[in-house]
Amino acid sequence: MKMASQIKSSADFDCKFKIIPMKNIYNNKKYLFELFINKKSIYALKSIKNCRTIFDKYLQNNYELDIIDIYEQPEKTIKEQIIAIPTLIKKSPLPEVRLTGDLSDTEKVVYELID
Amino acid sequence: MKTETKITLEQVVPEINISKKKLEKTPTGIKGFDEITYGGIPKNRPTILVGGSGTGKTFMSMEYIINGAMIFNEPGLFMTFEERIEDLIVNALTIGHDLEKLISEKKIFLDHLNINNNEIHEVGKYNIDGLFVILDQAIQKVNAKRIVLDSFDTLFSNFDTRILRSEFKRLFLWLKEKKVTAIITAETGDTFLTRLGLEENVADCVIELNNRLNNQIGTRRIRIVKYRGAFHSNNEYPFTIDEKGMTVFPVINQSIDFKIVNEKISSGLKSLDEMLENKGFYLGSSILISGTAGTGKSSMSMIFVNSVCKNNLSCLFCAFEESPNQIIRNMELIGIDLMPLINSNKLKFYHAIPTLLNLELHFMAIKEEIEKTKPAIIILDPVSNLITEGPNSDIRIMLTQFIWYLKTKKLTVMFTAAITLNSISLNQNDEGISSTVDTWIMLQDVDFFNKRINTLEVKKSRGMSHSKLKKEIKISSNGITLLPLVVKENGVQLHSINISESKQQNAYQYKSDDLNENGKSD
Repeated sequence: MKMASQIKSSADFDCKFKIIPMKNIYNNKKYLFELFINKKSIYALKSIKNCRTIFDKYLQNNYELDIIDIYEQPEKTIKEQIIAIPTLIKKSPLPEVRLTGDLSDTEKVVYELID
Repeated sequence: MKTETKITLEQVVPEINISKKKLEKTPTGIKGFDEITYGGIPKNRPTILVGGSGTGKTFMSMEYIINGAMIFNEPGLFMTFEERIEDLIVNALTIGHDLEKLISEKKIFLDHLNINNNEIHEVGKYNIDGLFVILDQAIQKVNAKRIVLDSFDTLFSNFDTRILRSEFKRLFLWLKEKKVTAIITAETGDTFLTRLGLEENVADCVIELNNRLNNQIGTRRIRIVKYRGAFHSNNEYPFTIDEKGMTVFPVINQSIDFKIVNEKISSGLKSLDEMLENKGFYLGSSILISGTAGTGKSSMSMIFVNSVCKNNLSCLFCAFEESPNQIIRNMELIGIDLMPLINSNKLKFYHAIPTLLNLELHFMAIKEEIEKTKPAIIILDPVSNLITEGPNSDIRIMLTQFIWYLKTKKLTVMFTAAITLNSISLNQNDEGISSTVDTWIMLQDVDFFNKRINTLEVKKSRGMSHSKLKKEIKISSNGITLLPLVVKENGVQLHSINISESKQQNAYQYKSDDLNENGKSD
């Protein structure tokens, strides 16, 4: 009963988390991305464009985007074990995140990668 | 128009070289499998191998690759998405294949594609060109002609099936263009054949594996669901996996018109031979000795064995009830000494507890023993003990196929079974077993006052005019003797030897042996 009286005020337990945007945590670190595409594929141009638009808006110049054609650099494709293309990999900062698709789902891209 | 009425054997059973003209096939080298597909899986086309977990998908596909490298000189690529390469090498060693050696000889390339699906997030449309790049590189490494992708479900478990449908088609077309013969494994699904429910539409050949449990004994089975552009057997075939690899059972023999032998072999009992045209059984035929417990089935078969071995033929006795030592002791009581036969290697025993293995494995083991010792006669004592091993329809199919196998090998086989007229009326399958054999000898016990008499009759014997008489069978220390029965007007069967007894009762009459012999009498 004593315990119950102690918890009567819900305000005691009401922790308020301060939401810090991810980019602030990694503020001084540069974002490194790798985008695996097939140049001949219809999704190639689309994904590059989408990448640029999103990164320019959210990361300004604080990023580096490496575009890799899977047929030109098969060793890298095998090393990273890329099955579906386009695939965008966030190499740095860790953790590594992989996004598959033409990145048209902007909201999800931003959520998974940046914020 | 002239109509073709004559159907040749080739039309019924297509020969391999007929279908070869239409569609090239890649032999898998798996025992029995190439027979049921008339040559293997379609060449340069993808085949889907579907089955639940633990049905042997990986095992079968691994054997396909190993056989390709070792027997057919076709390099292979094994791409796994599930197991680690080290594990695969260890697994292959258990069936006696040194994968590491084959890898170093550039005959096989193992690749493990680690799919960590948790890291993949879908953001828009995509295709699977990356897989093509990876596969292409791997194919080039050994110039692979055979490919295995194990398994599809792991590879695409987190992908959107709507996008995958078109991508599957592309993958299959790509594999065809690459001119590789691929096996792709997939899990069995609930509503569709495969879990993803789309591969079977685009595949040229679909093979299903399953592992069913019946009366506590599991049986692996294989079925060809679909095979574009070729004949195939529609049946489900049992198969086994052991240290020698995968074996589909039974091995179908293409030829039905095997040679028939007209020679005969004595049953070991002169009086029984007399009932069978004075000669005995046909060589290469199947003989069933049925009867209730204690009517002398085993003794009958042992007398046959004894006479066969004395004619310098070898014999394989498969005992499922008694141990060899027990048989030897028991046979001494009826005056048969088996030891010299065993010592001269004429008589071999195969004995096993029926419940130890399932039926296919028993037959496999017996077949192996046959290949090794090459006997002329095989005794299965009793075959009804094996019936407990599975549903009765199963054993019937199995037995029929086993008999066919023995017939093509020109072996004489003798079964004993606890089948009686009563059991047939209770269990239709018993009659089924008896209809598959050539000669059926039935032993029965008849109650006569307070005495039990064992009788013998030849129920059927294909290709000869056998006696229709019932005889009394008497087992003593001198062996087995057959005695004629006497029938009185009112139809009561009489124990012929006890003339004194019958004279005492003064109710029966005795007729001479000669009159009743061979059914010549009235």
